Amino acid sequence: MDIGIALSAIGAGIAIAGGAVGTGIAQSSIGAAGLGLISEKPNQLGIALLFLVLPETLVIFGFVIAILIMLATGII
Amino acid sequence: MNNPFKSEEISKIRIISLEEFKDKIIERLHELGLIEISQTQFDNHDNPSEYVNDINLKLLNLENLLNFYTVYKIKPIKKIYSIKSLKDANNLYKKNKVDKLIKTKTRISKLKEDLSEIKDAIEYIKLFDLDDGLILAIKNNKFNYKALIFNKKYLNNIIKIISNSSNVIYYKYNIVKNNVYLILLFMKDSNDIGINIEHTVITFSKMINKLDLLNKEKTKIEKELNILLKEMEISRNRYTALLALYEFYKIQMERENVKNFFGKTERTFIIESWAPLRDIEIIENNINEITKGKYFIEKIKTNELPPTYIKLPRFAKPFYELMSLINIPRSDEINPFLIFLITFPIFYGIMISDVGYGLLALIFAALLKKRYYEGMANSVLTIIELSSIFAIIFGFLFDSFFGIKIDHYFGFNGIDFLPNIINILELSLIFGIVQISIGLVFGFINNIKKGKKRAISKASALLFIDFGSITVIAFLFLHIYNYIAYISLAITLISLITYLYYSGMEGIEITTLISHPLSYSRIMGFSVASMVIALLIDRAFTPNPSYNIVVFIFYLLIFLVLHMLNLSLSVLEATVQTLRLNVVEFFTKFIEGNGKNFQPFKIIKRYIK
Repeated sequence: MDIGIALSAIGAGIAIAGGAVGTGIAQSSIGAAGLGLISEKPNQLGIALLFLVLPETLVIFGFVIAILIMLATGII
Repeated sequence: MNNPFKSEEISKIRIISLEEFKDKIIERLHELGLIEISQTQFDNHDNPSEYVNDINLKLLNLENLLNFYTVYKIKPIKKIYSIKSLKDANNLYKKNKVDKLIKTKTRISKLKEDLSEIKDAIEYIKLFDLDDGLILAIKNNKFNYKALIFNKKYLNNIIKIISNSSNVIYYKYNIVKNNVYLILLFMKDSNDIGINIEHTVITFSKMINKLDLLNKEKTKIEKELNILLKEMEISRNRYTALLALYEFYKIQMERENVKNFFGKTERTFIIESWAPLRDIEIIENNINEITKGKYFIEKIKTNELPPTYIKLPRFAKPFYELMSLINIPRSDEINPFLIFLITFPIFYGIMISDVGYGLLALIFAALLKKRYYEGMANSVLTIIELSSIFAIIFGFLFDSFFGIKIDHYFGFNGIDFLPNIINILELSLIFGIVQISIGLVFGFINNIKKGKKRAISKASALLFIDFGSITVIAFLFLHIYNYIAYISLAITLISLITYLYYSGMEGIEITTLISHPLSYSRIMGFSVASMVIALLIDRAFTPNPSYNIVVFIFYLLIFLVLHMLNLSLSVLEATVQTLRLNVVEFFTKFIEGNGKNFQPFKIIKRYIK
């Protein structure tokens, strides 16, 4: 296999993995705080859920970058 | 026609009339449901009457009973009771023997408690393997005892401790699964051997003492319980009748409670409330009809911000409820609900875009709505139900049925999703740019009233996003380098400088002008994720008729379970992410929020006429 394509595939993987790890770290503290909030104020479920999904932007950007890399290099 | 982007015009009004018309006016206003009653400045109201106490007691009793029936998961029937007056309600209350049912319910709880104690005692005697001698020793209270439950890995250590102890005069243990149930007898002056492992201590002397009596009475208690449960008549008819009564008394209570907001003089009463401008005439006509002209109504000037009120068709109400869960626009701001209502099902539809998943989500939501027939759960299910229609439409468009291509089934050639992934990404970003541009236009209009600086800041942000996008497309994608592209670049740069100059501290949010439109790429992202997972499940677990029957069923089960998991994940993500795109990316461009919805003083009837 061409080394360039292999490196691109690794790059796409890092893009997703980095985003996913970042999202995971952010969501772990937001999730805990969110649960604390809704146990005190159950009517704030919507807000808690919304804050929980905010960091998902990171993994989505990672995913988009990965797709762009793979398309540009002809992996998919 | 109403402006769909504007809250209805609401004014504060004051109604003054004679005390003798108070109850009739309250009743009529409650039926009309056109005003939101607020506290008057004249804080002078009546003390609660005997009548209020009576209704309160009845409501408590009914609530108590309804909780009992709820445990049996009974659904009310669609029966409408004709309760027009307090006399009708009291008759129905007597007919259903509510006071007697309360006593029966209390007795049932006591009997259930007794039965549970008997069952516990029997269970522990079995687990600790207590023989008659041990039971007698505990009962007679001649020795101290300790009953312990611990993991069997500690057993050998404990036996050693017991053997070395001179306090223990007898011990017996029983092993059930991984637990040891150990009972120790001590002389009267001691009760410990210093066990420091993780264990549970059980005290059952009280249970054992009662055991003889309860054992004899067990059959009797069970018989009585059955008779009482029959008396409770756990039926849908009885449940609906109680609900109707509860509804009626609650309406009466609301009418009594609202009097606390009124002002009062010796012969008159004063109501202050918010009312939509176009309904004031209807309110006045109704009060005039009751009082024969003995009333006074006026609009009050106030600095308070009126509540937000948007008239909605029935299907749109759940969407508004969902939006209100996060943020309610103030009545003086542009209301984005129409945009939310249009974009929510479209984004949701693209994120799922599968005919099979759309159909299943639709069917499940419709079925679950029968279980959750009211409240927020019902609203969310209605939203999923309606939005799933869009998932089906986009499923046809993107040619996917549980991840499988459907064109050869329906003779329709949809868009092949994966090879067109870049086009779908572009479509998602265009959605983002358009929605955020609309948001910035709204922000510009909202801010004109608040000050030129903020309005200019919004306008320059709008120009930056739109011309910035044109510039990027022209230079990077289409490789156009003509004068139009350069003008676009110049406008982008000028708007950027203007934005930074006029936005003040908000200028640090400049990155959001780029990241927010990009954030819409999640529409494509979640769509691809859902589709690829479905595709993988199909490839790996589609059952083949050539398999033998056991393998076929095994594959089929895994196939169904995985698709169900993917469906639940897709529906959850699509709902939350669509909400997020609207609330975070779109609303923040123009809404300050913290508004309050108009909550009319209105009867909600489900079970009574």
